[in-house]
Amino acid sequence: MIQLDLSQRLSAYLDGELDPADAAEIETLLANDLEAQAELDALMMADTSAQEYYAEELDAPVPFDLAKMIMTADLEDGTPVPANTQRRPIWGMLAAGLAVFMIGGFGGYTFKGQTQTAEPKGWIAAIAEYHAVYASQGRHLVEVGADESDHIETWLGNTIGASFTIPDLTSHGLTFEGGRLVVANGKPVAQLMYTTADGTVIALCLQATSKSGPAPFAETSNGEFDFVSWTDDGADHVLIGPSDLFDLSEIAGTAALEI
Amino acid sequence: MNADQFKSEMIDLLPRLRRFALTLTKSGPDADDLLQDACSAALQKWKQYDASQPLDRWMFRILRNHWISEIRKRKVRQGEGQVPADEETVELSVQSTAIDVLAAQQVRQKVTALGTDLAQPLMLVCAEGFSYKEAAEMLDVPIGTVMSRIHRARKLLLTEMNAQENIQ
Repeated sequence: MIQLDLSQRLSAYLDGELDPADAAEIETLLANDLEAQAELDALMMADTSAQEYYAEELDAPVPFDLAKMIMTADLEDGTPVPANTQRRPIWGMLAAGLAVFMIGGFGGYTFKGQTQTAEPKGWIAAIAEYHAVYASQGRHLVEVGADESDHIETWLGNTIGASFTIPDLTSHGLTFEGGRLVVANGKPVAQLMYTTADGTVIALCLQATSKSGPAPFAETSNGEFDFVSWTDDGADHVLIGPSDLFDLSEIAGTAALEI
Repeated sequence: MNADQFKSEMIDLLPRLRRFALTLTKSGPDADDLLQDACSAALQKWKQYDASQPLDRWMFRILRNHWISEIRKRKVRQGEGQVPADEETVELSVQSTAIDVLAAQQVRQKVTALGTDLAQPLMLVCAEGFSYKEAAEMLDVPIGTVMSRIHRARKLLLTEMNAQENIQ
């Protein structure tokens, strides 16, 4: 059996790796031996330094391409899918993964420096103008209220030509207020309105698209509002909220999963 | 565990996996390459994964095995033939330590100066919170080796910290 010197035993004690009898012996020694105490303090100081270093390492950005590669990898061949799990398209899996690590705090560095910050263009620019007007409408915020959610899904889904489910964003402190129909770039847009407890308005808009495949999240801002847009399941989507008030990426992750 | 759950868990692990890759490679670009290779390999053989075991340990093992394979390939490319992994990592450690001790001014440099053989168990136990037994299984070394290497790592850190204080 290997005989450990005191410093080695203290190191193992620090890691909780001594058996109860050895640990008790060390504790008795520590209570009476200044040199042993000093050695343990030194080892703990080294340990603290290492932990500080390793904690910083967790903040390093993880390559977005790698996360995307994992999310879009086709592993389904022969894989049983639980009966209560709805099989989603690739973007659904992408969004699921995004939501998982966004909500888990991963999105912060996944997208660090990898998102667009340019002015919104096209239909999103038009939506920004609508939002500036409608978000201040108070009691006239929506055309059809949340109490008719089923009707909103049918009415707006049929009108824009893309079916959807109204996302539940209550986990982000958002209450669904209802929907309205607007027009951008000559095409109908479904606008779903949510509010925070203090009345701040967040809108989720979608418009049918002829784009062939999904597109990942892109962030834009016009200074007054921030936008997170993506394409999936035959529709372009954009989530709009006041600049610097919300982490829209996290909310968009949930919305992309649920819609 | 189905495919989506496997991928989601792997994505959640990425920051920790990259940290371990950095501990192995001591180079950001090498760590990213290693992480990419290991994740690709894990996806290819995901059905071999035993879901009753923690995914992080399985992934740490894949990362380490890929790194051992990579440094052996590098040796071969350099015309030095295959060498045991431990021999190689010790050699890298000495070089890394020598360079970094000279520049040691901050905590980061002190830890970076540790050799790979010492840094691996230190990271797994002190940062990841694994037991000596778990770390030993992941690193394919005896528990006693894990214990002695962690102790040596701590003592080396202390030596460098004391040396720095004397310089200042």
